Amino acid sequence: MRKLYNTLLMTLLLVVAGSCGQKQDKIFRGSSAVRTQQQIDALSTALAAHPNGWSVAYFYGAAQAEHGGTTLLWKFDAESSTAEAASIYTGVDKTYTSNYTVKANGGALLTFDTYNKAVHYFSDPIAPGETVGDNLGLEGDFEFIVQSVADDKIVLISSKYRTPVIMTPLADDADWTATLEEAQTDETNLLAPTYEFYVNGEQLVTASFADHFIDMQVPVAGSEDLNRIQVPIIATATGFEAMEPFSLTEDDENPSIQHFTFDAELDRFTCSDDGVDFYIQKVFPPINETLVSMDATYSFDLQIGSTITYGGMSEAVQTMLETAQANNYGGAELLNVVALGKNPFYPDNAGPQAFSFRSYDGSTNWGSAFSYTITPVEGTIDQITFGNFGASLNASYYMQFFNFFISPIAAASPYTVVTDSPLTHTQYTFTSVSNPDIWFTVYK
Amino acid sequence: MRSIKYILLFCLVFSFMGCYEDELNPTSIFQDSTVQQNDFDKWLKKNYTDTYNINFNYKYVDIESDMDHNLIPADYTKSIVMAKLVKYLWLDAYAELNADVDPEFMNKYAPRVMQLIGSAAWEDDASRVLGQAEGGLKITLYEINNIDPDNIDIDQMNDLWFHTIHHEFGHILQQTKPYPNEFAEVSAGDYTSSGWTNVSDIDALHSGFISNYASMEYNEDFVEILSLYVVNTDEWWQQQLALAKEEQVSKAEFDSYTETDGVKELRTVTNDDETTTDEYYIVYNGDQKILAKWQVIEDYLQKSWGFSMEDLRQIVQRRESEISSLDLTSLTD
Repeated sequence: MRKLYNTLLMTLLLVVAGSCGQKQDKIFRGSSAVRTQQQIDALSTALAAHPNGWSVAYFYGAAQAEHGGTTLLWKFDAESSTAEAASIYTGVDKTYTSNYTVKANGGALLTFDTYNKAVHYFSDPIAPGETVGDNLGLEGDFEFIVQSVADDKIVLISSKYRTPVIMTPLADDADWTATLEEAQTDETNLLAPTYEFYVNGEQLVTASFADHFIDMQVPVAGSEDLNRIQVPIIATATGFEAMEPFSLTEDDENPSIQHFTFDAELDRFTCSDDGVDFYIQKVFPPINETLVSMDATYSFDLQIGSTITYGGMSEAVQTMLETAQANNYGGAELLNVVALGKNPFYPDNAGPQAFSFRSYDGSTNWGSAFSYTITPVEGTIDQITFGNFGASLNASYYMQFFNFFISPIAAASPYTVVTDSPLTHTQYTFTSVSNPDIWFTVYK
Repeated sequence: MRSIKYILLFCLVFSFMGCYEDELNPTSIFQDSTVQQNDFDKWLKKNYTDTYNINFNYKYVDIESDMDHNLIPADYTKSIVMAKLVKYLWLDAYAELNADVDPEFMNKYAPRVMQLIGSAAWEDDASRVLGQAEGGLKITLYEINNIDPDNIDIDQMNDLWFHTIHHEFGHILQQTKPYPNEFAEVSAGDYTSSGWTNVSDIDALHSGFISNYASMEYNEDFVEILSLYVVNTDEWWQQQLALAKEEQVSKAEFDSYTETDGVKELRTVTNDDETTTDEYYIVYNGDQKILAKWQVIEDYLQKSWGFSMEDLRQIVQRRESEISSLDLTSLTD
């Protein structure tokens, strides 16, 4: 009995022990070097697989909470190890060629290892427009570690700032310039002078939206505190997307806010993710208010030759200018600039608004300016009145001539004003409310 | 007792079961990668690797770059221009100089790696690093993207790159064969290891240094004289000596001078009216120290290396004058 007992016990132990597999399941298939080489091969093949290249969602400056994303176009030729690239910021109709390499460096690494303006624009230690570097620039990367590779999508992460790069193939017949122009339109659609943020029907007091970056402070439930949330975003054909899903509450382990759709009718971006009541309203001030705070000089269309050709104005306004010109020292001085808005002769362009004139006597250009104020017509958003004329520069010499223009222009107030762009205001057209035959356009 | 036998028997069986023959992976983890060689790569192999045993990196390699700075790669075409200029103005110049004495001179002593970087290495204070050398093994040249292939400015080339190259190669020479102590004795006590950035070039000249960087310490002083002498014309050199020799300053200016201004002398002159006098100071003598150090270097190079600094400069200057006749973008040579 005891023998049987021992035999059974040992058998049981053996079965139990034997149930532990001697062959352990491998966590990874192959060594790290082999897997990295497989990644390199897969990435190298995939990059060159699409002859018309890739549309790339690229984020720069996002790690330092300064900028967001933009669309780049990349194309790779495996045989010559050359890459073509283009971006909105280096010319939608320009492509730049450089070398590229896929190699092992913390995984499979894609590097643009000779200069490519469309790529390194974002990683140059001198920011665009600057002449001295700050060792930061736009804080973009040009080396990327592969995260996943598929025929229709490659996901990379930038090596230094750890921001995502999402590559999707371009159709074989997609035109690069047209594609970038669409991306540019999408980015432009993000822009507004100011924005208002609404969460669950409540407006956020502190929130901003600039340079492809949202910065907002959201009230913490049951507290006086505010939760600061900074979100890099990228424009899309339908609105914009956050670089990564985010939440309006602290310590949310499943952030889900990422996609915003533009509603052209309401001029707002509305979060399209489930269960979120969040929209960002574009806000454009009334046009007559923009004129009060006009920060540039806007010129009348005068083409100067042996005689002056007048454009962008009614016959009545042209007659006023021609009369002023004829009286300008008996016509001896030829008008070449007539403008309104910021007084160009005032130091640092900081003076009051003015009608400004420049005329040429055959050897010297002479300037004069006559200040005015613009007053919005109460109850309107697009009507103004010129008034409060005063002397600014050389008025004692030139008022006698240019009053032939200024006085009738002022007398025709109020004006209805339209602009070509509520965002950039590159031109304004003024039409007299009382006399529609008096109208003129000025250009930034 | 018999149960123990059973236990041992089962353990034996179990231990055999525990053995598992794991087949080795037939794929080596060290795989050869195919590197596509373009025309420039082939030119570099012929003209740098095979000729001078130098690895000329024009592509950005992060481990060969400077991790303290945000940098961008060099432009491909401008890298070709730089490679040809470095070869013509530096490597070939030394090879020509040593053709009779030691034809393998640059193969033995030139740095093994040259790395090009497109941008400057900007510091937080908006200053920038022009070049770096690491232990005589590698020279890193920045700002390659500032080259204009159609308008080579030799002064810019010298300021940004060739002064640095000759400077760093000078370190290799002086670290390979020591130079006499009398060099360090000429300006002993005048070096300002941490304060040289606050010394202007003219003050450095007055104090007997060819540049403010030379005033940091004697090894830098040594290679600054060597490099600046070689890349500049005799006219420039004489101008520096004249500046170092004498400066006339009013008493008011003199009162604001610091101790770094070198030897001063008060002079009184009688004005044209022959009754009144003016006083002014002369700051001078920097040239004496520079020339004394120059002579030590010249003697050292002739004795230890078998060539003359003067001969080297003549070769470099002649080659600089020939730059305009070179095709700096062709890879057929």
